[in-house]
Amino acid sequence: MSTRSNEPPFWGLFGFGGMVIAFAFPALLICMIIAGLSDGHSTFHITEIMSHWWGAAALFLIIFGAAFHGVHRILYSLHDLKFHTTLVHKIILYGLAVCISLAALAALVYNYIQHL
Amino acid sequence: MESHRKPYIREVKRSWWLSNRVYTRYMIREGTAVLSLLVSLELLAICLITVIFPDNAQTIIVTMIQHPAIIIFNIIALLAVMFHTVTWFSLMPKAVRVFRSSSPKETRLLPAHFFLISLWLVTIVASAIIALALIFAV
Repeated sequence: MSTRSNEPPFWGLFGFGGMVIAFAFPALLICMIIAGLSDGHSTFHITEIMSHWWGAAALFLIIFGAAFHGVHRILYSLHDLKFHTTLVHKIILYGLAVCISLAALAALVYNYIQHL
Repeated sequence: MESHRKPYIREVKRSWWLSNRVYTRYMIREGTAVLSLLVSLELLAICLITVIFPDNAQTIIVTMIQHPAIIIFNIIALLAVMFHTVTWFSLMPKAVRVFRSSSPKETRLLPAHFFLISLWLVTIVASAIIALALIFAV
């Protein structure tokens, strides 16, 4: 019987998400803050970007990566905060990341089809 | 058979990481994940708005990010994400060990600054692409 750990794929997603956050989130947040403090309509063309396949794909990868990175790190921080984590915690946290990713994928694909 | 030994287990308080600046920094670094998760929810909300309100999505999204609470959240998230980026890049050469050549006799690793320079270059290029795309809607 094989008792291989299921850790590597989650750790891989954690690493991928960490890269995506490091590369994309600072610029995204700076753009959102500038748009929030200014007129906004002329500096934040997010809906136009999302109507392109590459924009939708990029936004999906960013949401997907950040969600899995976030829940993985939170799961291990729970241990650091002396919460004993079990399979239930894993299912809730990774399940949350799966829900976020699927909802984003569905919304982006639907939005893209509407703009074809 | 029974064992009557009583191993000494040192008590660790839940606030253990507040006693030492290095530990505090570590927990803040791990805590940035909460902000990252919230930002991914924020981006998901933007995606959902385009589906629920297809006609005036852009107006609703801009109104949302102009809300003072969202601006304050975005600023806090930006600080957290910058801390994540700096620490993530600086741990990369420790996590990924790359030798300078493929020769089996090679013992020298690529220097840390090689990783840092390339990662920051990618960040600058990615940031420029994101900013240009969002501002000019290429």
